[in-house]
Amino acid sequence: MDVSNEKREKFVTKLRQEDYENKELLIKVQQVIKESGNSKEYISKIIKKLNKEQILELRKLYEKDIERLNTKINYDKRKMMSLKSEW
Amino acid sequence: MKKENLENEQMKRKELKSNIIKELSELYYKKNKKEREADKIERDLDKIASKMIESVEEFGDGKQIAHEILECGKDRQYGAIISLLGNKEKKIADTYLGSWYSGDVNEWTLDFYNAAILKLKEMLDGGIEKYREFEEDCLYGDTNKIASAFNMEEEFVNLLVKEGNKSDLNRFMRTMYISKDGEWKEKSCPKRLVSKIFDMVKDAQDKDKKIRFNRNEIMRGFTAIYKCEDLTDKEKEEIEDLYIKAYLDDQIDDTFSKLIIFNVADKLETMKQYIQLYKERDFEKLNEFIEEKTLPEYERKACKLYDQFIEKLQKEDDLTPEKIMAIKENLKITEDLYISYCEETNKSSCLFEFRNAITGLRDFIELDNNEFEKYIEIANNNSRKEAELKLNDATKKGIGNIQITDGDNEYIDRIKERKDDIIGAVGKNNDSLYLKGGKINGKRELGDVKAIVPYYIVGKNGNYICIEEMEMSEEQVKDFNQVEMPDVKEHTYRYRRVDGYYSSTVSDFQINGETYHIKNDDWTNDGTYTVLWKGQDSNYPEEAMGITSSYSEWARCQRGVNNEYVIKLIAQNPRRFAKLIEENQGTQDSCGCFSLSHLESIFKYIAKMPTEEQLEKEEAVEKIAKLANEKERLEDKEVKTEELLKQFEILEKQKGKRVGE
Repeated sequence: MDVSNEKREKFVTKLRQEDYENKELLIKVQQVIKESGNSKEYISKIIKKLNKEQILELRKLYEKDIERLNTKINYDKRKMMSLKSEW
Repeated sequence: MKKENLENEQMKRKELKSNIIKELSELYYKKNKKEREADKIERDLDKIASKMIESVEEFGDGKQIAHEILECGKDRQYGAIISLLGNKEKKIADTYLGSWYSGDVNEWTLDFYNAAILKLKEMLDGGIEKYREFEEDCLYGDTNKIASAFNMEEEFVNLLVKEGNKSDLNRFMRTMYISKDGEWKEKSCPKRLVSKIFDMVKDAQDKDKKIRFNRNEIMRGFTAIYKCEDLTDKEKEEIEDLYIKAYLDDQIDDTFSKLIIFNVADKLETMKQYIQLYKERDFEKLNEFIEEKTLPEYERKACKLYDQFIEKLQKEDDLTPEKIMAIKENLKITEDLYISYCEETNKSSCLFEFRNAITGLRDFIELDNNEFEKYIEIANNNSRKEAELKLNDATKKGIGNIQITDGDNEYIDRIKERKDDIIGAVGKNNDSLYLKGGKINGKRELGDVKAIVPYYIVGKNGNYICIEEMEMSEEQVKDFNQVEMPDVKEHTYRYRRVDGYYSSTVSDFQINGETYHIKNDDWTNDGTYTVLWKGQDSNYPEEAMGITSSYSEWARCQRGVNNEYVIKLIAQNPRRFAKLIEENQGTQDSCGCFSLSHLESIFKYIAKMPTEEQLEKEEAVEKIAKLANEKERLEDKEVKTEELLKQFEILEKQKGKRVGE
């Protein structure tokens, strides 16, 4: 998703607290954070709009993604090792 | 008889002139230290008097000149005379003026003023022909202005009526003025009225009666009658006749014009009664009469103002004491509306205070103030509710989430003296919430902190805003300071000091993922204090901080604190405290180990830091940024790993084919 700075700002202002219960929107938030270059300033603007539970949900989502990626990478590595060992 | 009067008059004038010359001669000598001949002084006088008479017409108001010369101090007297002279005449006049401090200015001014009057009287002695010549020579023909500047309107009018005609008087009654466009314009009196005045003055002369005459005042009266909508044309005519007669006979004053403009009932009858009362010169009775006649109008105004006020209060959604005052201020023009409270009877009433436009006296009208009181109560209750909400909000947030923005070292406006147990306020307004307490007691414990909220109310005693304060209840104080205390374990720590090894009982606890250690009785030069550090045991003493309950400068007077209260403080402010310890690391006291702080000061310091909630969010930003970066890194790694795996699989396939071949 190619989001300009202006669009990102508009996105933040439109955020409503109840929207964060919607997982799809949390994913969109992750994408927008990535587009901003993971900027702390931008993340801070988003965090200001959230309460404790919602910040926790976002963290959990990141942690799950990291776990999933680590699992995938490890799986691919093991597969490569097994192919290597057969040669 | 008349001839005798004339001769007497001539003698008086001669005497006056002679006195003037004598005085000026003395003034001249005082200033110049030499004599000046009488005939030369007379010539000087004539030049100056002529110039003064000539210049008067250029000014806006003849009476203003008379006022400055006859009723003002030295500066304005001098200024008035000089403003009527040309350069040549100024030089001459100044030769007669010595020191200001000797009172010469007053003498000097009156000499020239009286000389001008004598000159005008001489002109009038020449009869109507001489007068008409004089009028012809005037710049604008505004002889009335000249007459009023020298308080001679009666003399001029008497001549015009005795020897002149109604046309002469008509010209005398007009005035010239400068309009907004900067042009000279003429304002005249209706011929019908001039005719009436002429006849009445003639009548007075025939009866050998003195008249009083002031053109401006007379015209004010006529204008007031003309503009009066309550009178019919016939009634206006009747009042005009009564007015002129009363004025010329000196039996009425300027209050007539004010009263006739005022909204009173039975106007014609009222004005007739007024004229009759004024004749009797019983001013107390006259004031009572005016007050009685004007009161209904003021009562009407009072009710109108009150209704306007209540209407505006009704429209306000969220009424506060400040809004009530603002609305009152905006309504007030010349009248005042306020509540007066009687301590003895415990009764309040709404008073409308006003100044009577005619008598100039202040008076009160009492109104039924139930509506006003109702709104005051609403506003005060709203203010109290707002204060309650602030306290409830603070209680809910807890001590760790209140940030002091206005320190205790500043005088807080609403509290007139500096109080030692005020920690600070949240904001600089008079109604900002502030914190009190947190003091060390005899048991070396830190007392509870409570929040106090000042709020505005409209006071009983009039229309002022007062400030009252609402404190947290005992229950709220308990909740505000409440915190979940961690489990505390103990262990014995053996450590090395410069003078050998020691063992101490150390308490350990965990708060927000940090491990803390606290011990008592660290000593310095006979004093002891409490020590706190986090992390490993071996972080003591380099990364520790000392806590004392003593304000003394001397090391031997130091005493520690009750550990439980330090643990409670950390539990109330975990992130703030962690930040404080970080800031303290590496700082040392004079004994060279670690910094020493008073427990109260520690609390005041951390109360000014960002709140726990804000620090928590800052932590969250750091964490999420870290996670986001980690995720991005792994996504790149995943792509690369997948690429590599594909390569491996391709190689595997190729290998498989060769084998098959």
